Amino acid sequence: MNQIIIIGIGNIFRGDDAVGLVAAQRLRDLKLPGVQVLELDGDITTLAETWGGAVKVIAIDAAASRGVTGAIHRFSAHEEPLPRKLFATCCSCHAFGLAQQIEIARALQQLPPSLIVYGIEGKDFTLGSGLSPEVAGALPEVIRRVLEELAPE
Amino acid sequence: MKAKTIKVNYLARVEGEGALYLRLQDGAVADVKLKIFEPPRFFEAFLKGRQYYEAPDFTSRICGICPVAYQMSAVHAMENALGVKVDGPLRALRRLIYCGEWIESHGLHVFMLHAPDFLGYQDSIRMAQDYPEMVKLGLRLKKTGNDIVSFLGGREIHPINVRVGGFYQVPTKVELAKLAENLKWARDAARKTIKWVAGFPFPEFEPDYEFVSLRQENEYPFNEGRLVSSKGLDLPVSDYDQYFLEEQVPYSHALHSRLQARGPYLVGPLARYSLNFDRLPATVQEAAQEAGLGPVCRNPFKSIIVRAVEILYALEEALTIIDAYEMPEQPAVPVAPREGVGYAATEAPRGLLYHRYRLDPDGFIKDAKIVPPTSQNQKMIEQDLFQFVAPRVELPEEELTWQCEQLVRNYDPCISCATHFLKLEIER
Repeated sequence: MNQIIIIGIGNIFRGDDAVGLVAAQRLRDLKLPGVQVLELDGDITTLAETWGGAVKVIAIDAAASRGVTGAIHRFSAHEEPLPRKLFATCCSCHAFGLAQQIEIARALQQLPPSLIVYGIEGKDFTLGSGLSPEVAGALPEVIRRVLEELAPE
Repeated sequence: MKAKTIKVNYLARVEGEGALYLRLQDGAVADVKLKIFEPPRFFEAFLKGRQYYEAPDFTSRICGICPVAYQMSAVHAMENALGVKVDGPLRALRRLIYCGEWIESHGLHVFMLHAPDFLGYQDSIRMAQDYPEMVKLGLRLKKTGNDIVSFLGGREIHPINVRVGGFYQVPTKVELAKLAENLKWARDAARKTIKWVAGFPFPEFEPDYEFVSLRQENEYPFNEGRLVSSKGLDLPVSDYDQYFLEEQVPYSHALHSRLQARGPYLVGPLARYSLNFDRLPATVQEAAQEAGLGPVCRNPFKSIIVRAVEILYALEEALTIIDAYEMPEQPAVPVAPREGVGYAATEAPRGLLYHRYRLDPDGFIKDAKIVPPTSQNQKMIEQDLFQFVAPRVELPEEELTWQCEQLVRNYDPCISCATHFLKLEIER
């Protein structure tokens, strides 16, 4: 079992929703020792199983809070729930979104000791491939910050 | 004159984006609209000019919850057009992958989307705090379905192993047998689930539905059978277009279906169960009866029990198929293009899914028609709301709105959508 797992979440065919997957692919290309990189592009009800006994999990997903495109949000999900209103508006998710799945895992006491969530603000989630320039532009910073998370303290 | 409007701008715990609009006037329901504003995706249009063998993989993309249903309707319609019959173990494997999808889809709906309604929770997160064991059981049960689909289909969502004529690869008997162990656990879990949901409180509500589903000899239906209804319809699937109409309504992106002769009708677990109770194995019939169901169930709120019963059936059937399986010599029967029209309907978790394709002599698709279950049920959902709300107009608005939402969720509507980005609003 890998101690550290990075999970990219998204839909490659839905514009900026792909950003989590793209970030995961780039992190995988770095061949980081002891780090497992996963891409989830569909059913995430099995999320808690994917992190199994990992000590640290970093999840990367697109965010849609109508904020500045390309903005990077970071949450320590093992310490506190993702912002409350996140659920109130999360109705279009196909079945279940990341935030809901994390809260279910919290209720079931299945969270890993450390769960960091990066949300990258997108603007275009319509059908089609390719990231908005602002979202693509945020990727190097996301990668840099994720790598920083992995560095020994 | 006293007018009141009830609006639910985003329906929660349904798949996709939809809204509900109700107008009450002088103590009566004046108007009901279920609005579906998922953008149309023009699948039927872009199938034109593609090859017959592309239809299963293309149409599976319509839905991330029931891709197997789309693949099954597509392959059976193509085989109908091309004069091909798939039988024996290949036929059984198709039923098996469909079992996986029912378990997965019903599992999600029963535990995550529907149960909170009956137990008074806004969502399954709060329910999980009070019922952690049932939610864990539900997630694992659902995963059992995912495992069947990914084992036979190559991956959980939008499987890639299904083709016109059969599969690209088939498992050996030994490989398939490995699935069985977990299915036995799941069978017990399904029995527990039936007992659990049977104890929920259900409102008195039994509309006089016209049920429509497939029906065939000896088996509960997945991929084959005649189209039957509780009001006497009994047709080959190829007659579908003569009896069922699709209409556009200005407020919804999904077409409304109705029976030409009589109007709205119901497809899905309630219809399937009520028209095929005698086709369930005795063990499953008993479990249903112990849960208080008769051979016909007209209360849409009790669809949660019927879904649990269908999960049990799917598990029994999966175990039977695995037990009897012998690996076929070829993973698919040969198929050659020819001119023709092919029809098929299969039983998606949410009900009848109809496909029709016209092919040219080289196997290119000339036109395609796809009628998903949720569009067939839309008109019935609206009619249910009319009937349900009429004696309840005096309820406080919040309570009435909540009950109306519940009524819609009885249908497990799949307002197909494939994005699950993190929707968040930040308070400042």
